[in-house]
Amino acid sequence: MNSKVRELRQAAGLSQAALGEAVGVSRQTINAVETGRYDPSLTLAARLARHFGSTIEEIFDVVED
Amino acid sequence: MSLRTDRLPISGVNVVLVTAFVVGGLVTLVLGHVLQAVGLFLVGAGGLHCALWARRPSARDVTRLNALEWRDERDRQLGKEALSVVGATALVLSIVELVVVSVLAIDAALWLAWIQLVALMTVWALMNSIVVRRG
Repeated sequence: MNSKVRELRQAAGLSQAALGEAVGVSRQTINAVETGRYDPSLTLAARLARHFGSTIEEIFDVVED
Repeated sequence: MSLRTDRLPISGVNVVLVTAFVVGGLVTLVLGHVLQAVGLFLVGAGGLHCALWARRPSARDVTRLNALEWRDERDRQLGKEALSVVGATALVLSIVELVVVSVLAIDAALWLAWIQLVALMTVWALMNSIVVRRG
């Protein structure tokens, strides 16, 4: 799954640790989401979207096989 | 299943494990087996130290998995993935142990139990490293 999390985080001037703290996950989880190694749950995706004042659809793009 | 309990300084499962070692050590001490009691206390103290170390905000993900201190949904997913392999390995090893103990003698059971425990811990640590790299 592609995401704009890194782009939005950097635009907000946040570190991975700070964003993780804000949405209740570890720095490593934010890194894994940003690099596409981990697909977040609906709950985490919604938290990230809410944090950036955006929608899940705008942040995450499902890549079809 | 959630291992994390924010009200406690370590996860619930680690509270159970450390308590088991401490209580086991006390009972062993009362029974007069001082060396074995010291061994159990040391393992319990080591486990407590590892759990507290893994609870630090800067702890690595593999450290948290190895210490059963899952912090978030990714830790839970990776932890379950690694433990499922440990479970399958335990099933196979238990069958092998049963066959070997049946063929050999009962005295071999203690050694086989230790070998099984070490094998399972090794598989667990390896799987934690693998799933963290993958996910």
